[in-house]
Amino acid sequence: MTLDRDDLDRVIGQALTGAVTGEPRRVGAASVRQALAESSRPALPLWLAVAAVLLVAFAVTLRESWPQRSGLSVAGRPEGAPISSAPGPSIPSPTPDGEVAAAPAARVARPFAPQVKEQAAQTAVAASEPLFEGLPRLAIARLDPPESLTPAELDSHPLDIEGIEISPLTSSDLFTEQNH
Amino acid sequence: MECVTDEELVHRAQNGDPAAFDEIVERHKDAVFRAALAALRNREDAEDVTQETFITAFRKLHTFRGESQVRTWLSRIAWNRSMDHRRRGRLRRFLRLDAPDAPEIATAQADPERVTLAGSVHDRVRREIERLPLNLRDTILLASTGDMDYASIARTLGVREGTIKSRVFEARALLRSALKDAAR
Repeated sequence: MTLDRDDLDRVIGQALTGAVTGEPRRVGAASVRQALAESSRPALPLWLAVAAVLLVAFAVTLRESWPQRSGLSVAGRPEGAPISSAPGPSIPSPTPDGEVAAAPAARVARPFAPQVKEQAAQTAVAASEPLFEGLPRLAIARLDPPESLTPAELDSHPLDIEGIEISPLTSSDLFTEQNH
Repeated sequence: MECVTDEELVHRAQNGDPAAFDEIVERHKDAVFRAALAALRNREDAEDVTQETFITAFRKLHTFRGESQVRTWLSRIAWNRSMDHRRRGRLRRFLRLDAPDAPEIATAQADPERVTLAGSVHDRVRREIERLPLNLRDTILLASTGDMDYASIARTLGVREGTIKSRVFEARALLRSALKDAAR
């Protein structure tokens, strides 16, 4: 059994009307007035906004008062890595008595730049101070820079070089070199 | 306030009479809700849009010049808010007509077999409505609210009145064609 055309038109009409029939259950003059009142209020209480601004300002001030921390991060220390005063890689160097001792590579490469290195070391120590606050301080004896060389000292330690014998060149030697 | 016109209510509300705006809300909330329902086909969302519509209307009350009816003006706001909802993609779950909201099918004869058949056809009609092109579906559902004439619907949708007529005609023809095997 099927519907006739009039029934079908009626069903279509009723389905369409049924899709948009109804009335709001929770919207009315009172709810709209309440929503308007709520939306007209400032989102944040004034005192809360002021407190937030002050808190941010305090945090910025606090951060700026600790420049060492930021200096440390610029120095490139990986986060979480321990801070140490370990010297750089060592290379062997002969000592006067013939033994092989280790010396810092940087010192060998730039033996007369002690002031720059000392400043860097002082900065690193100062930077690490807040981190090691409360720990007993490690006292290190002062290291005096080596005395500079004078002509008198050079005279007292003459450098003896054994004689080198060099035979004079001949035309036959030159001919042999060209063939090679 | 029963005998006061919409225009007079708006005038009073513009001059700061809160009771006048309350009356506007009470008079038109059903029509606004149905317009939103036609667009969204979800009652919760339609209620939200109805509320938002009156809040927007209150704030823009000073812009109402009386060039259209108050109901048309409100319906246009509701339609725009509904389109915002659609665009934001909040309403992916709405694309189904709720069965409890569909009215019982009135039948001239109390024939049980006929009533059952009409019920199954009703379900099919709802599915076919969902398959209509969006512009046809919006138009025919808005027209089915019975709250606005074609001219007002045209203003609400921002198209010509003739376009509304042709869309309604085409939508009905598509539905009949899709359901012709159910008809004798």
